[in-house]
Amino acid sequence: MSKLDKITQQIADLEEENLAVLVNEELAAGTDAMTIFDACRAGMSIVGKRFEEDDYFISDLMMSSELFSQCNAILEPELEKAATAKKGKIVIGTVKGDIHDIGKNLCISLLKAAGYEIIDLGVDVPAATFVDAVEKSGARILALSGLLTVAFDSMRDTVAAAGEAGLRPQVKIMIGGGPISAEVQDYCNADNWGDAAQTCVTLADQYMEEFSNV
Amino acid sequence: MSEQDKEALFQERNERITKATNLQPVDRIPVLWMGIAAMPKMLGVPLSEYHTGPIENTHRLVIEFADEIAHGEIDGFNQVPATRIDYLLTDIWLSRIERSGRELPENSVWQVAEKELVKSPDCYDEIIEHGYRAFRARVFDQVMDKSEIAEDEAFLFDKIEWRRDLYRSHGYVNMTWGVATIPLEPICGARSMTPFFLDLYRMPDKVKEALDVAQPYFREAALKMINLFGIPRVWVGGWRGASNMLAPKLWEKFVWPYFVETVNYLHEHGAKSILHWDADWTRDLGRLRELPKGSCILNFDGATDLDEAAKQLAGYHSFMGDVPSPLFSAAPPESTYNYVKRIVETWGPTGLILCPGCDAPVNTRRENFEAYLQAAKDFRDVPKAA
Repeated sequence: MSKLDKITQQIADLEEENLAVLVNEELAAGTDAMTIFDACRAGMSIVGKRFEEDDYFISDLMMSSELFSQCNAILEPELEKAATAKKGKIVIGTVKGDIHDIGKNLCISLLKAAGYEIIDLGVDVPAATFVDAVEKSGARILALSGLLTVAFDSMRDTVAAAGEAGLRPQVKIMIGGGPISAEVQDYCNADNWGDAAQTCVTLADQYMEEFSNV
Repeated sequence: MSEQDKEALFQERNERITKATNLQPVDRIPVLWMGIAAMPKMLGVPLSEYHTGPIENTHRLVIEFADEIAHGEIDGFNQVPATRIDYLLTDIWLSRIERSGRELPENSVWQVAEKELVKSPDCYDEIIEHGYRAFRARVFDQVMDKSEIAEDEAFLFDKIEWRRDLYRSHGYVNMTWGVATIPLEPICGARSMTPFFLDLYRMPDKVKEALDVAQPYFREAALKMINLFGIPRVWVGGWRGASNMLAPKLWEKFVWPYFVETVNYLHEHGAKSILHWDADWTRDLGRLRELPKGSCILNFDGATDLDEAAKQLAGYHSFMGDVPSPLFSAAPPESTYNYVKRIVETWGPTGLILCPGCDAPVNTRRENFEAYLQAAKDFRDVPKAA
């Protein structure tokens, strides 16, 4: 097994030991940072698949995100030099009235691992701030997070504000969080929903494919 | 209604609920309510006032809700921790609680502001060396003033007989006043979820040792609630320990053994464990058959698969729930109505108590609440044998 395959395998199998050493050795051997980064992403892709097949759970996603972040911290300076292309921009935040951020942060890790550029607005974010960030960044995807049921109204307000600003339907809006369901999606008039972090990657990839087909 | 009639009503309702939890036939399915913040909101009482008001006001408000808003159609309440939510939530989350009129705007619902209060994994050594009680006290001091802790502790355990008599004299049954959990939950809260979950992979034996040291505190705390309040039922809650949260090997090691021990311990003392379990426990439902038959009241929040739960556990443990929060706040009333019907068709009539899943939200709509009550009225009756 090559060292790149080993990196992929270790992330997929959530094995932390010597992972950073492997990444550093591969860089020192002259392997392109993007190639190593792709090996890490391949590991995260296996993690995502295992999650969808109910072999992995939230704790596994967190551990894999941690491993990916460690690798990314080593590779980032080299990747920045190479100005690598991202899949697309996503504006994300926890909506007004809700200060929970664990789910949002896990989504960010997974989306970064999947190759997206993330604009994180933090927690308790008013609708106007989301709209402003989407307009300024040109992001085509807006991700709204919330754990409380009071977040539903803020999500609805944000979706409405995006519509009033003329951002829909070209900007896709997904909502996520523990209590989010199809009923909440209907209530908020969002484009889609998820109650598990991995869903945001699946949806973002679907949207990017839709955008590329238009 | 005379006092005698109300006492008779209480006896009738109490017997109905007891039979349901004992998996015995009932005359009709009991109907409970839980909506801690929804009640003052519907009565127009500011949440900040509800948070800090005198104990008598708090519980009279709950009674007013049951009589006026619920039209006396409920048999009682799942849990009425009422006010001083800071202390109660801090106890089971070991995190700072933000609330309306203090950190949050007036009439905002309280929130757990989970931060990494305990930044070092050395906390496991601290628990192993000094015990959970000392660790808990240290974290409490980080998030609440000593005067607040003393005041809230006094409040929560104040006027217990008065409270019991108040509900009883109005004909309402309290499922429990007690809240307990397993060691994983508050320790996870103190460390914060991400660092704690990573600890489970990186130092499993150390975490396990700390949980083992802490477990007697939790087991005894659960029993203390039973003895203190005189109700043979107590919440044994779980949220971060849910099956969808943790990989099976972690769940087997850090969650399940502690539930088993506490449930068995309470069962030996003649009490039932109300498994107030948030999030999705579907994967491990079958394990609940390892516990003594009838020892648990399953109190899910709507995330655990209702059909699967009934398939595996109906007739073995009783079920209390599980109308999901969005159905009270973000769905058309007919969805609430239909879900209640579905619960009855799936679980009823034996071993079932109708109740919101977890806690009906602060923004519960009146029309959805009415739909809940209407559905309960329409479907609670047990067909008489021919």
